[in-house]
Amino acid sequence: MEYILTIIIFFPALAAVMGFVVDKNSIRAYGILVVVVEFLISVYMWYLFDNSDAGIQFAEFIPIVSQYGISYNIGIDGISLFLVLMTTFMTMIAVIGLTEKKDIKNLILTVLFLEMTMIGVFVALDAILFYLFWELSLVPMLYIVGAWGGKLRIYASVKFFLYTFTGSLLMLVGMLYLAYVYFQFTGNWSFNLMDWDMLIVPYHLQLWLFVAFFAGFAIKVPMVPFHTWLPYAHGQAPTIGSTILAAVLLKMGTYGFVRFSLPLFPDASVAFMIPMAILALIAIIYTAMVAYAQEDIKQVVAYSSVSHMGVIILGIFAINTEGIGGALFLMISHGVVSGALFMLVGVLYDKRGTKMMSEFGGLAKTMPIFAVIFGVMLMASVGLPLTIGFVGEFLSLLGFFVVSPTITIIAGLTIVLGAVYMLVLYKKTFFGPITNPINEKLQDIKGRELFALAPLVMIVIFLGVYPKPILEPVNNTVKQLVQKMYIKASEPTTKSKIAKYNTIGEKIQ
Amino acid sequence: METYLYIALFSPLVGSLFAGLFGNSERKVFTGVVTSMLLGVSMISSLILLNYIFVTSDIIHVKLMDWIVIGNINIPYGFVVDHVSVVMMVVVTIVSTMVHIHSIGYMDHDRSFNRFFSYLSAFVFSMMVLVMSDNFLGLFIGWEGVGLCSWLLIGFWYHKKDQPTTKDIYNSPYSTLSPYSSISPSYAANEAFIMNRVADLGMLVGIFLIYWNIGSLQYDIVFDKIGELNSMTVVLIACTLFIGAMGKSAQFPFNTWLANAMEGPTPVSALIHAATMVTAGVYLIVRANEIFTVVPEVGYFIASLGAFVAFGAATMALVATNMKKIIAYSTLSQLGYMFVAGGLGAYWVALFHLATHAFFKSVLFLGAGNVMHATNDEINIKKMGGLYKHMKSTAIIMIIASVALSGIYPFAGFFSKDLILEVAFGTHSYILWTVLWITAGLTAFYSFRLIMYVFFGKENYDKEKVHPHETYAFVIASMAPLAILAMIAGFFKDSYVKLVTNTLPKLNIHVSPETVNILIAITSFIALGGIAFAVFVFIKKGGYFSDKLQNRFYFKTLANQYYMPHLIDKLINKPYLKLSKYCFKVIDSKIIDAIVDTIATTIYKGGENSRIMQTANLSTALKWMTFGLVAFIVFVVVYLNLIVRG
Amino acid sequence: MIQPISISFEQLNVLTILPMIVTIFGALTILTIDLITDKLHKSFYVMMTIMFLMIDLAVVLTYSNDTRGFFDLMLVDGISLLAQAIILVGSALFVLLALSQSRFHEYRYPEYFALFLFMVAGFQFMVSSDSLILIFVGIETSSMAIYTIIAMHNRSKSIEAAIKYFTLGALATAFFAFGSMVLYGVSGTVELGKMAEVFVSSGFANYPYILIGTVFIVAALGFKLTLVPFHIWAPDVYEGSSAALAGFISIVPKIAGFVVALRFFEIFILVENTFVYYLLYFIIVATMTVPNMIALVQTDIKRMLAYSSISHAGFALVAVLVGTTRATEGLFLYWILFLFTNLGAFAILWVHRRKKDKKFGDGHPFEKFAGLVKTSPITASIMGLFMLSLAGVPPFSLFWGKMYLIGATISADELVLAIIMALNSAIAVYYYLKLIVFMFLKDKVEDTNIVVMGNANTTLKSVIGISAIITTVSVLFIDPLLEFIGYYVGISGF
Repeated sequence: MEYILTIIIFFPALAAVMGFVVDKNSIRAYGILVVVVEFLISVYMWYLFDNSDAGIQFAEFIPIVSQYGISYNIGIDGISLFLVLMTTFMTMIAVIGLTEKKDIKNLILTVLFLEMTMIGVFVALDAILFYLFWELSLVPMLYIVGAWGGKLRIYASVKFFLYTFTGSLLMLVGMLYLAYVYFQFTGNWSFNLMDWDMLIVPYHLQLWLFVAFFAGFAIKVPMVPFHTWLPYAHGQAPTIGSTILAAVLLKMGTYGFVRFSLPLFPDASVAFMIPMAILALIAIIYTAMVAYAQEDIKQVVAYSSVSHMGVIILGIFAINTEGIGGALFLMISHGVVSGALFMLVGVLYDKRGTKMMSEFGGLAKTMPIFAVIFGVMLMASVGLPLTIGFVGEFLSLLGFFVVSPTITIIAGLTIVLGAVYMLVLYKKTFFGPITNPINEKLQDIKGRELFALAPLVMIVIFLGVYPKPILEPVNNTVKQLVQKMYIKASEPTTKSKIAKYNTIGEKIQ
Repeated sequence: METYLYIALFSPLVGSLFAGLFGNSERKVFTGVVTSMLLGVSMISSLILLNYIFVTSDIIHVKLMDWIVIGNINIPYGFVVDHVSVVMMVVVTIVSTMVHIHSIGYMDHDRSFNRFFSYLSAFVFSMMVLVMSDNFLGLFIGWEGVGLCSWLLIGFWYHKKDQPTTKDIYNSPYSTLSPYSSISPSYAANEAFIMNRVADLGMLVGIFLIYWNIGSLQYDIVFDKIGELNSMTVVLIACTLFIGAMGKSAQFPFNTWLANAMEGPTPVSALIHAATMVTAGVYLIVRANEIFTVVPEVGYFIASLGAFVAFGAATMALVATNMKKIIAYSTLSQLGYMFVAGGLGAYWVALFHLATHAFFKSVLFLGAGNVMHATNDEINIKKMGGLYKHMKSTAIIMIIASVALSGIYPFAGFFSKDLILEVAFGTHSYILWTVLWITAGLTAFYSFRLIMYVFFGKENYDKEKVHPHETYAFVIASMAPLAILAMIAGFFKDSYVKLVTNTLPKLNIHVSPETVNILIAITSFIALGGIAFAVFVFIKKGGYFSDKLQNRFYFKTLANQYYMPHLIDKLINKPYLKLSKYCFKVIDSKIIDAIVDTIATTIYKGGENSRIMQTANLSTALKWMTFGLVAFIVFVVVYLNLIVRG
Repeated sequence: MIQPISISFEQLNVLTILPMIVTIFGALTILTIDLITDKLHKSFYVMMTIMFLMIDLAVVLTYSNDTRGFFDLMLVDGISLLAQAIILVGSALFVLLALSQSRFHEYRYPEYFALFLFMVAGFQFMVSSDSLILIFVGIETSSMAIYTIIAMHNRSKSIEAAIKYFTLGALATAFFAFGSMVLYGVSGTVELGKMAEVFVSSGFANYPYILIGTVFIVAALGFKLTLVPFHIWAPDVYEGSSAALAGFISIVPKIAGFVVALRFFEIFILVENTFVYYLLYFIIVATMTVPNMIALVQTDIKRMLAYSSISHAGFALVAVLVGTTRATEGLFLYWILFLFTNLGAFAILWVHRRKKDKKFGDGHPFEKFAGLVKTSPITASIMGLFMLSLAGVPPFSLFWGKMYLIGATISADELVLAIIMALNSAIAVYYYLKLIVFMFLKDKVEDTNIVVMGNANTTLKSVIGISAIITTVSVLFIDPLLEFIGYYVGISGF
């Protein structure tokens, strides 16, 4: 099965093309079938995956533009493996839980195309290929938000597109420049990450290139202050849109940092540790406060994502196995949890046509099962031990603590502030007497919705209790990554720092 | 033996899941029964373990499986049953079993009967994890787990609505004279959870410190290596861990949540907010005594804080008329005692008081539960009275508990409490001793003030509505063992000491026997004095504080819990909300987003403006072309003059 | 007294003008046929034209190295061949658009096609000479033809456009003539190659005059290549002429212009003349940015595309400034890909053209395409595809051109310029997106009965289809294309 990755990438797209002929009324079944099959394939890939091997697996290499060193070069390792699995899984859940009625056919086909681009981003090992999928993923999202969204949908979707597109163009310039640097050193062109890894970029260039890539990634993550597209996108997007956006698309940015910034610019990454951490810190605290100020449930969840992404960034820029590994785990967990939360909000919206907290209250009485599931996701989101949310958060903070205790302690407020806005949300929505008579007659969730949400709950608990399946491969690959950074580091201070942050021992003298 | 360990640990979980299955269905008695039985099983296995360790005094240490393994970090699900944890296990299981049985009666008419038992057993499981874990992160699991369960159980009656905050001291949820323990159960639940979260952050930091300095979170490794670290680090570790302890044990300034937690059903208060969870902080100190012994200065701080809380809480209990809050504050005050002991290095004393306190305080709460049950959930002690003839057994049990609480020989409280005073005296911290000594008097007073108001004097309850009656026999039966333990627990002291001092350091205080006797005499004197005062004043006046007195500032202060709830609301909650709204409405919308949009619109405007060169008029086109040419020629001239000529 | 000069036929090297001969012959044939009979349907003439163009293409492709002829008047080197190839293919494809469903005035005249071929010949002359005179001739031949062709559309607007174009063109010609004169005056030759030698050898004597001459030539080229501020004519002319022709004008004349520009600026770029550098730099930035911003506010798709193609011209001109082989390759790659994408885009506009459209008339306002995805998803998707390609979204064709060109710019250490290019593409996205938004996200405008693809038929559809496919799968043939281009650019040593 050496072509399994290609299959995983293009199967959904192919299915989407074929889907054009499927009739409107049976398209939903078709879509579900496709995503389930896709998920199974990815699971099989996981089964074939060799945990002990820290390197790239299932690699494929076909030159596209040989003269310019652009190639169809894909592969997967401990870093990307679970992002791919998470993508296929969340897409599956989202499609199963889909309740949209309007133009269902176009919607499902678009989602399938989107799935292709997302997986492509995570398995691409050629900068241009990565960029290709990266940009392509904007188009289906634009359509989903713009066509099935709320009142401001067009503004939101265009803003999302332009904002992210601008950022990534700067990233493209960075990539081309890096390729040029590579050309100057080796005399031939290449966008192949494996080749780039061999390259030791001069320090001052690293700084600039880091910034260029930052422009692309930071907007996608999004990091404060580049986050303002997100609330609009989430606020306007249909449930499936927000689910996938929060679960997968945001992870592209953080993944980019791990895949490109760290190994390619080790010195710059270390040099930018503290600035990045401070941005992350602002994101964590500031957006947590903004989330607390929201009246719309969906906006709370939206801002909470930004806050959690901050923690991920913090973990990544701890530059040690614990931190980066934790960040990767947090990407997965946040994908599952925020995706689930958006679906839950979607359920409420379907039932009541509003997402305002003030409209609800006392739902725990009328919708106990729903309340329980929401509660589980809430606890996962505030990082309660034995839920999926804890491991990543704990490791990320733990990782960064060695870099700067002060920043970590402030960042640690996330467990408090997160609890504040989430619990207040839960109180306003589910507790208290039922003020609005309409809520008396609300049906508890069942059938399709329950079927879509139950697996999420199981995952949340299971991976919280037993995170090893993810942590093991991640651990191997990340260790290798850190070593690579250490070897490639050109500045002595960088070397010493990386070494320091990866060793146990007396810190306070 | 490992099997017993696992049984003791997991049978509560099984019970919880079982009851959870019926979470949404209507009341089924057997859920209560089954969970109680499973708890019984857990209790028995704990006792077996206790016996085993007592006899063989070897430690049972098991590793279930890996949890977090990455980088240098390797955290298993490991459990250890040693001389300390086994005592704790026994206490926890005994109390919780009894509380379970009691709850079958207490929650009799509650809609969510099954849900209640599911939560309650879940709590016990978390508590067992907390107690039995062999590493700090495992402890943290239990730590947060009990937090979650306490959130669920405080907010158990989530459907109640929020009470408005008023100036009227008799209705304000912030005062101890009002019928409302807090704004609403859900509010209290959130408050408890969030406050604990703040403290937990401290604990997490402690864990980080330990990890990065020692490279492991396993107790044994940490305690071996802790001596090698420089004292500054250890101080930090100790402090941060203690912050965690402060949160769980509601030490100042985290104390407000405990009083508000009384919104929960009374058995919950008995189990969680008196006997077990709140003592977790003390347990942490005892557990990590190796760390604290290294840095006595921190220990002394802990002790002082403990004494401060012990006194402050006792004073608040003096004037309160909210029955549960009185008991809650007495709990707080007793926790203060424990911290004094722990802080002064008398860890086994702290643990001993923890155990005895667990017995008499839980039974006291359960009794209060019976009373409320009998009086349609009346909570104001001034609206009761003369209940003795209606519910004798409850009354007797509560009196026993109160006597024990006051520390009268030969009841359990006497032994543990006197020890603490002795320790305080023996370590020459005479100020602490004085404070505790006075507090002992106060304790005796408010305990019996409550007893008198509730069971004696004239009947102040509304006779039409309320028909006081003794509760079910089995409920009383469930309380009996605890009451008995409250009486006799003290006599196990010696064997207990023999057991725990295998792990915990012995006392190194040297007080001559006669001094000890004098101390005992003095303490017993003030305790008895407190009781006597309470009784006589009540018999003479039928009340304690005259109306004149009640308008005094200090009375109001005490009744308003030193205005702490008000302060927290004014200084933290409201400003935080304001700031958040500001961040959203101004910074986010008006500044950041505005800038982004402005950039876009400016470019667009640029289009609008440069459009004007586009008149469909031919001559303008010609003009532009010539203009372009001329401009270039000018450029030539300029260039030649500037660049070439230099 | 003058010596009689005897010229042997070989010296002339007639081969060099064979390509032009083919087209001109074709034009004449069409005219003669027209004299003989006038019963022939337009499709016949279309096919005739295409046939000649194809023959010509075949001829062009037979050359394999530069050849000079006619006393070095003709210079058929790599880039000229490449340019000719592009010109021929482009013309052929655009002529196909004449086979539209509804009958339009101009196609009823066979002269139209004759003129078309003459024009092509003109372009071919432009690109295959480095003598200012012959270039001048080429420009004139082609321009005259274009003016007429536009006018033949026979709408008041088109006549107006033709006149405007003519007038401004005249001015530009004047500039060119004057510029060449000055340059001849200072260098004593009209051949760019020799001119360069003279300048270098003389160390740029009478520098001021050289610059003045240059400026005039720049102005003239600026007019051809619609460089700011000489671009004013473009939108009106585009609007005036039929969508098909507009598309043509936006592609084919420009490639010819680029070649001339390449040849001309080579003189100065080689010696790294700062003046020309700054001048070009300014022009390029202006040409990329200003029309881009104006395009943002357009309400008519054709005008929007007009401005966008101006901006694209500026984008491509970067290659001239950079002047490396890589950049030159980039220029041609870019333009070939642009050719197909733009062809597709304009073709779709063309097929949506109806002779009597109550609401929208001749124009193509955005509303016309509102909610198109509902009525005909395929058309909407294809149009969207072209827009994305123009916006430079991978993997669609133009992205590769953009990427390659930016890459080349960076490799020439023109980082700032590269960033400006990137930002401009970012701005450009907005107006391409605008059309997509209208087609996919907005609802149909009420009370309009626009027949989707009213002007379409199999031929046009297949043209669109071909360009769509090429646009989509471009990634597969970028490599061979680059080799092809690389070869020709290589032999001409640019």
